[in-house]
Amino acid sequence: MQYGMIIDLERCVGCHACTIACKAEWEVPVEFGRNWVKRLGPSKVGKELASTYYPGLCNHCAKPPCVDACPADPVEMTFKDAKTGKTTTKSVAATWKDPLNGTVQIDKSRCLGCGACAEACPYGARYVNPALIDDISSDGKADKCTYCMPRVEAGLTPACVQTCITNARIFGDLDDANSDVAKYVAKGAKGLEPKGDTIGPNSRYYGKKKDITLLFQDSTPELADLSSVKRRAMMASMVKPAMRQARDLGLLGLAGALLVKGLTEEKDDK
Amino acid sequence: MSDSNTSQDIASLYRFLAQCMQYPDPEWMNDDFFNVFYNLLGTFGAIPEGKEIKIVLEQSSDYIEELQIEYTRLFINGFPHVVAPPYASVYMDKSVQGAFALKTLNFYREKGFTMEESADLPDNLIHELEFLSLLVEEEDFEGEEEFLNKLFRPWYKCFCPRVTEETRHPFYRMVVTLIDSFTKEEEEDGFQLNEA
Repeated sequence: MQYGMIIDLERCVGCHACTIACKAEWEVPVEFGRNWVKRLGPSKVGKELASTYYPGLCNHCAKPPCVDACPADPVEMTFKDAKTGKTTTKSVAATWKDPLNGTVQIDKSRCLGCGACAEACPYGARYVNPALIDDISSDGKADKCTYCMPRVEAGLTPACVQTCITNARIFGDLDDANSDVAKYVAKGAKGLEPKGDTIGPNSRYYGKKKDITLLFQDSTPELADLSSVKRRAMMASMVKPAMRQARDLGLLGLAGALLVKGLTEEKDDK
Repeated sequence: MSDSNTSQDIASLYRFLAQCMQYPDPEWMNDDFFNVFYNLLGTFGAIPEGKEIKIVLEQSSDYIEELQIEYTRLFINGFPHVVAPPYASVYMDKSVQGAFALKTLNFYREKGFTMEESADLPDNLIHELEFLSLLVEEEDFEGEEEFLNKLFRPWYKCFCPRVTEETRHPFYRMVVTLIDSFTKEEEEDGFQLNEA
């Protein structure tokens, strides 16, 4: 099973009801968004004029770069299929791709708040919510669209889907050939792949050729430089406790008294 | 997210590692220092190595003096010769204060820093770590990467094995390994000290 979402640009009117519903449902801070609607155009595409919207959200990718970037210690997690009762156990960091429903999820209780996943996501679909702090992270917790899994498990549709006034958002199982979403894919709905790689985004777009061309021209993202993102995040999250202890003990102040004189700012002299 | 907290932790780390490479002095090399040091090893799964160091220190009648002797032998003057001088030029130019030291100094200047008169040579390991700390404090991550790649790693990768192979004290083996792990390029499996 792979949950996915189709956004039918033929129907979207750019009203932002989806973004508001999402914010209200999940108490997303004003400055962040789990989903967004950007206006594109009017621009010349070939010999035509195109104007459309880019309603974006987490793509719950087949190969999510955000999951690989998480430096949290892995734990064994057992996933259970609600319908068949089948279970699967997998070693996961604080964010993972669910082996049963294909969604990408976060365990906030284990999230270190380092933000590596947010930097790794080419779509900018993740943010670190500074309001969510605990003993593990004083920097907040990573957060993003969950495809409204708590609602879906309760038999509802995602909040953005339910609220959409034109039914431009369609949610379902891409692996089920009879589902509406799979039919859209068969008709040519496409995900926004980043430049230079294939990561299998499962939120997909359908529309007039010129609108899709405009969307892909304008909004194809670039992959983050993962090596430096990961290295930095790992360093920061791993050394955080020891370094805070060092600062609390005044050890680094002491080091400063011994060390800092080696290099001084020249800027003041100029 | 390269927020200021993250940067502060990494800047502190570079500074702490620079501290570890100073000549051992009870003024800073005290219980607090070792608490932080063991804590840092713990986060990297290097607890056995930490225990080994602890045992060696506890068994010594004067561990500071023992570390001073080893520091001198490794980095200052040893018989028949010093093991691993902590200066880039020694490895890159086969001389002290060669062209590589000048290149390093020029990089500091480009970034708006200069050496004080009382400082050691610009390509001294301690100053390079301090400089990395200052760059990260300013959130100049591109500068950090560039310095690591062009001016730090090329010599450090020659320096580090000399110490790990020749040292008689587990403390210095651990310190140079920590610096190595923190400064090398991300490899396939990250930079865990221990696979376990």
